[in-house]
Amino acid sequence: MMDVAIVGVGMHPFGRFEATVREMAMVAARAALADAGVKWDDIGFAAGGSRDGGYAHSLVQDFGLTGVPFMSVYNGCATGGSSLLAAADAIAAGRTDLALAVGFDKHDRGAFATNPATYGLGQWFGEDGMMVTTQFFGMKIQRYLADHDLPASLLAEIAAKAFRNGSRTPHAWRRKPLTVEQIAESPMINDPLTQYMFCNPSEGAAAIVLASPEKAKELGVTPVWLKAVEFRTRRYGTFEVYSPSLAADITPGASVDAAKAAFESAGIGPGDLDVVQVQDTESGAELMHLAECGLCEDGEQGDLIMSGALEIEGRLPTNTDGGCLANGEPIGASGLRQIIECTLQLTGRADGRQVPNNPKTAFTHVYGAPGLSTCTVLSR
Amino acid sequence: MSSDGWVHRVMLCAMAPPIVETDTTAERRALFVEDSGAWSLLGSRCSQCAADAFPVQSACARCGATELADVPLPRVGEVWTFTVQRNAPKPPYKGPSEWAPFALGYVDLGTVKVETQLAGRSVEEWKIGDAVQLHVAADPEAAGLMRFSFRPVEEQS
Repeated sequence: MMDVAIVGVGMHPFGRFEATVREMAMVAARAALADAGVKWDDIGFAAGGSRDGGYAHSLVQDFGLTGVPFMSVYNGCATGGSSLLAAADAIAAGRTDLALAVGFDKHDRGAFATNPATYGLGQWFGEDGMMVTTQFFGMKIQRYLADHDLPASLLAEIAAKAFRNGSRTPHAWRRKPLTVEQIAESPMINDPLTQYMFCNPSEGAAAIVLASPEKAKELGVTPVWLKAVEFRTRRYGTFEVYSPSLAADITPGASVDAAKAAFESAGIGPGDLDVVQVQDTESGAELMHLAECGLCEDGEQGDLIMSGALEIEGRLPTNTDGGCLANGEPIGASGLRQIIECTLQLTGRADGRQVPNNPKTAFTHVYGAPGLSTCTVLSR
Repeated sequence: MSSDGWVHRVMLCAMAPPIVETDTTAERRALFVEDSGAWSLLGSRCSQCAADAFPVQSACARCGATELADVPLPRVGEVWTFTVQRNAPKPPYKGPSEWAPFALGYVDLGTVKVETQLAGRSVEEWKIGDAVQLHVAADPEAAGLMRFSFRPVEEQS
């Protein structure tokens, strides 16, 4: 079990903005420092990541040049998990008693055109129309629904919940609720997934200040404890994006391993959770990740969703700020947004979307391509 | 809700250098092998753990061994999963001059599953478990590029 405290959080809202990506990063970072009641000079280690916003370590110029070690990381959609892990480990290792994790991004509108060579693939694979991430999501959920006898109608229910929660969240991008019918009847993109079941590239920034237990006590803040942060890449036989072939026998993905390790490390089980954030790059991802993370059995999602268990007022409140679907995904910041949302929920600061009855424990999960995941367990 | 952000795209992405136009003739030649007038997809079989993969690999993803043998893959299999591409993909996609949605999926060939376009019937008619067989041909709409797809067994000539 880790002894690291979250003592400050800060965000620049997610969406589309005039501000530069560095300005957004600094808004989030300064808010996190102020929330913790510390100065930049006090930070003994920093880690950060961005896909399109430049090197995180170059932010030192805007913070003030103190000589602090500042590590830049990149792990696709799991980048936020990696910067958190680096900052938390720096404290656990005794390198510092106060660390900062920051993530920021500002993506162009429209699709990323991905060069197959980036993934070690031949150009033919792209020429033949298979270098498209959304196809993978369609194919994975198509097989999952068939294997576990689940109706595709659940996918619109999940997206409707996301936009409902987004409408209650000041930092969210999509703040207008959509009906199940509007979502189901939006244009089909990759069967069975329609337009409004997908998250979109966006902009924003998130930052977290971490402290040793002694430092947290000295600061006099009410900390949230980072009980575990575990990172895994895939093993042989998993079903991943951009795969010209798959193994004869399909095995569970990196999320299964990362979640299991996080629960073991924290000494807190899936049955003990009050708040959950899982990667919902599209509706099917939330549905499948709930089972991959051990939060329910395969096939149990139908009952969970239709009974309202995943709602803010439900038994297992999931993606309480609307997740990636309502916030969009600035890659570098997205994983840290999950941590911040859990921190706000556990400290009773989630305003219009507060999970009732003083939640005590939380779980986060990010998944990146091709096949890596970071999970955390938090408690107060 | 503004329409500008609703681009049809999600974000499992790596760093993205510019797309470079390349001639894939040689790449494509390495995808296939001909035996007695019939084409097969050419895969790799690991000499250590016997795992198959497509296309030909330089190392085994299961055990890391670098001694791999070329192996023609079975021509017939079953649809393991599928979807339909409803919007034209971005470059480097090279499709027909008139865009039309296409089905694609993974075909289970027993020792390996291969990702492929699914052709030869309406995109609305595919389902898991459909029996399919390999079709290899030069594409007259793409400068004669050698391309493969899987098609329903019963409709093959």
